[in-house]
Amino acid sequence: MFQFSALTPLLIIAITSVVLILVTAFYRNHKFIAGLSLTGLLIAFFSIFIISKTMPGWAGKLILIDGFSIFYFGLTLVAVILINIINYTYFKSVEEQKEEFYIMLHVSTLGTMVMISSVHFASFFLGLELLSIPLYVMIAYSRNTPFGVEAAIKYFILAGASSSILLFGMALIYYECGSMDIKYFIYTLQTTLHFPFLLKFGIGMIITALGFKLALAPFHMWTPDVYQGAPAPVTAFLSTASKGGAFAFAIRLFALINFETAGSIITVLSILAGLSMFTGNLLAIRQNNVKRILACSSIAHFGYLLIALISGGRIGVQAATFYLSVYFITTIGAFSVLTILAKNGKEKDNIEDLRGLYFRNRFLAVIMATMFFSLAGMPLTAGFMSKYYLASIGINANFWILIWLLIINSAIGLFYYLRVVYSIFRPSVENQKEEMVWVSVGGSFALAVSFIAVVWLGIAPGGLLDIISGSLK
Amino acid sequence: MILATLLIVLFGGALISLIVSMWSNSLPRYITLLAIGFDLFLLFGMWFASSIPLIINNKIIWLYSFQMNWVSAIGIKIILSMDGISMVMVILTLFMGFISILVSPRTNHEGFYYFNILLMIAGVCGIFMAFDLFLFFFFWEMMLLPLYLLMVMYGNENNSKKSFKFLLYTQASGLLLLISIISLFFMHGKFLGFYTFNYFDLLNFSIVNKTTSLFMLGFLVAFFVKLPVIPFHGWLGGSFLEAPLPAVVTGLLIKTGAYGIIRFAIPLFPDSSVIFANTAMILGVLTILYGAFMAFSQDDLRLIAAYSSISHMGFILIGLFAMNEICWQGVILQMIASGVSSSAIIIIAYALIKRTGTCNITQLGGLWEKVPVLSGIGTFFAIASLGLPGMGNFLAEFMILSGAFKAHSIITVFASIGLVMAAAYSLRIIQKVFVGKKSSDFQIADFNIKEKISLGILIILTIWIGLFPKPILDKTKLSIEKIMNQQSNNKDQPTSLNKNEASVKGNFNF
Repeated sequence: MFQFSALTPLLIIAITSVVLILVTAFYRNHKFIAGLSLTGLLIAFFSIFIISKTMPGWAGKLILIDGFSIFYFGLTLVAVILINIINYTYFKSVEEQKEEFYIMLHVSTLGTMVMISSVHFASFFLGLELLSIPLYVMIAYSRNTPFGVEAAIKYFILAGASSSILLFGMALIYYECGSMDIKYFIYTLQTTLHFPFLLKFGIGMIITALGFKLALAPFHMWTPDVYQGAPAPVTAFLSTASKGGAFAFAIRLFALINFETAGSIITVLSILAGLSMFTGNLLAIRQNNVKRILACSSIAHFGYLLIALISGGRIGVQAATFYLSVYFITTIGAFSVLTILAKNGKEKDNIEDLRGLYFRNRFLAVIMATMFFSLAGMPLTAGFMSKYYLASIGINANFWILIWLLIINSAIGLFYYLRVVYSIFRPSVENQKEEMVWVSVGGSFALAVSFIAVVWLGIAPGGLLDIISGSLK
Repeated sequence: MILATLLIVLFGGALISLIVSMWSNSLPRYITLLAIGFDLFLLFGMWFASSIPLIINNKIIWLYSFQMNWVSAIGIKIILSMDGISMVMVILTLFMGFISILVSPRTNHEGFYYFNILLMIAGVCGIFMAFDLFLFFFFWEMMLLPLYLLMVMYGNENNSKKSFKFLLYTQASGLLLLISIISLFFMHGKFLGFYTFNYFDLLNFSIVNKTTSLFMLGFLVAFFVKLPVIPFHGWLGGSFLEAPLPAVVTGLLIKTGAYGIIRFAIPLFPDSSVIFANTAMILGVLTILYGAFMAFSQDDLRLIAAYSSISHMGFILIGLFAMNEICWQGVILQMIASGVSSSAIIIIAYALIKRTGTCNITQLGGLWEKVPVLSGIGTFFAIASLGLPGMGNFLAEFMILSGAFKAHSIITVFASIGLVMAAAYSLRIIQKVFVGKKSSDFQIADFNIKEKISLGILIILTIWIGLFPKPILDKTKLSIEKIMNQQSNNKDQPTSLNKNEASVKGNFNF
């Protein structure tokens, strides 16, 4: 069956991107285009509430709009709305042609949403490419800097390679399972005791491709360079929405596996998780650039997230979704602060640039510190709640080694997070000019939303938890 | 509701001082004093009102209680309760906070400063009142953040290592505490069918095997780091140097670690703690002796106070694990008395810094002629901390030692050596700072009226505890008896769940 109405959010985003193309061709005005793009996103966001009444909706065999999709749609759209807002702030003072950016943002968002709701390998691949290709261009936006070009080329080549690996893996799975539909794949995973070699190979390739997208070790090498080279809003998008889409698909694939049949997959994922945690944290210790620190920490965070995925079951999925939501909002908060600090497209993302931020703008400093505390998992912030939830899921499933790794790595993580916080609160050195940092309205809005969300979820996460458990039946 | 009010007033005061600091730089201090004063007022009312203990259900002797659902999805509630021990500790925290804020110097960015101080005090009070394990952990961690920010912003230059050491030690041990709490939660749920963080439910659950001993160790590591006990004391020296005055006095000196052991580690794991008692007492002796050695060799007055408080905490550790009533009464008194005397020495150190720019005792000397009042009070507290009879410290240490002698005589003998060493370092302070030859001509002012009153109150408190501790002992007697009864109940009846010991082992396969 094919219910067009279920695809409403996707259609709205698609239509908005076309409208943006047409408007940009005739009337180039940054403010207007940004506003138009924001409107499109907001309409899509509100349409989610409308279609949630008519769940589940199938679009052929490719796309399923169920509670899971709807929650992730909402999450992605909130993230992209905030990114849109800070994007305007960032590009306001840049001389380039900036209106096309919003078109690509929309197409990438469309790709993410397709990935989230796909239940067929073909639609997943479509969504992946829809997401990646505009992303290449977005990353390359700061093409006048060597870092920017390096980032774009790295991401382009690696993403292309991982897409082809993904295709090959999908072909192998098609060979073994008879259909590209996920449910046959899951059924095969649940029922065959000994996977045939080609199936294992295919699964390995899919995990490789997903590992690249999610920046898990050992597929993580691109992350620090790309995060540093891309403009801050693009990094925010890369780090939240694109990973969210891939992770949603990974949940669909792997959440229902059990130990008896798919023990090897669980082992592989656990090794990936452990490696990612250590790699991310150990790499971040030596970094001096805040964006690279955030990149390496995101490697570690997805390592933690994998624990929830591996523990599986409905509770595991809920814990993973909660952790992911908190991670989104924290990351966007941190990148918003970086965006505001950037001037004329020149980013101030070194730790030294953050020094004495408290004396230049108190709110920015407190918000940045809160985001970092949340990433470190300190109480009163949402990061603590999500880490606690994750730890309890892991303990319940008896994955003791992973839990110990979680603890050790959380302690290691403290080191580099605190280095940034320390720098924020120390007074600046004598020869540094102390200039006040002014925040625009849009920037303030994005910052306020992230800050309030992080503290609110840290104290009373009940609301979000209820929404999650309600939608993920 | 009154317990929630205590915390809400503190949190509210923190927020208000932060907001008010945008307009006025002197107002936050008064707001803080007002908030703490209001809470103290409430607490004194509660103290006198509860002289008749309430016995509910013939079992519980909680004076006040408050419950509320927090996050029902994960099963966390807000459970605040107060009994004698909690009330004494909360009053002590608030009181020391009040006094130290009175005598502390002004800084810039006062709003943020008092915001953090109030948050820290709220966290400490919350620890003493929380009876839902998750809430306890929440407050435990909440204490750390404001203190770290205070150290970073108001400490000396380049103190990143010291402040980081503090946070790393306490946070890492806190993570172990978290894992133990979660494991306890799940184990209880798997056995008895319902998952709860509620302290009262978990009390009735005792199984002895390797797993629960591991959980107890998890709890204990966190408490030992806070106490601090010898292998884990590395953070204390730096923190005493970097943290501003009120933070030192309240956050660090009021040992939440000791409270954690007496309230959580021992009652929740009665049998495991009996097994561990010998090791703990040996650690306690080592702490006493090491602390005293180090205190003797320091030159900075604040570090002397730090190490002497480590030494006093060693006594507390011995007292806690000797498991009898007189010891525990001594522990409560020691927490109060050593808290008061160490804080007073720190206040004097900061007063000396304000006046002479240094608190290095080799550079000071012969101060009695110039500042008789300051020197007199300093001498008093140095003598108190060495344990002169008539003052609180002596009484507390005596009770602990006599109770511990019943439990393990040889260890107690070694611990008493600590008393002699305490005399050594305390007298060294007096000799180097107040009497003895003058090192240089300082023209310094004596104590002003504010400092005289604050320290005078502390002197009265010390003598009162030393001569007339009955009100405190009465207040805490019932709670201690209750915990002791529970201990012996668990020892007498073999728990029926012991038979299932084989199936109790947690599945550690991965």
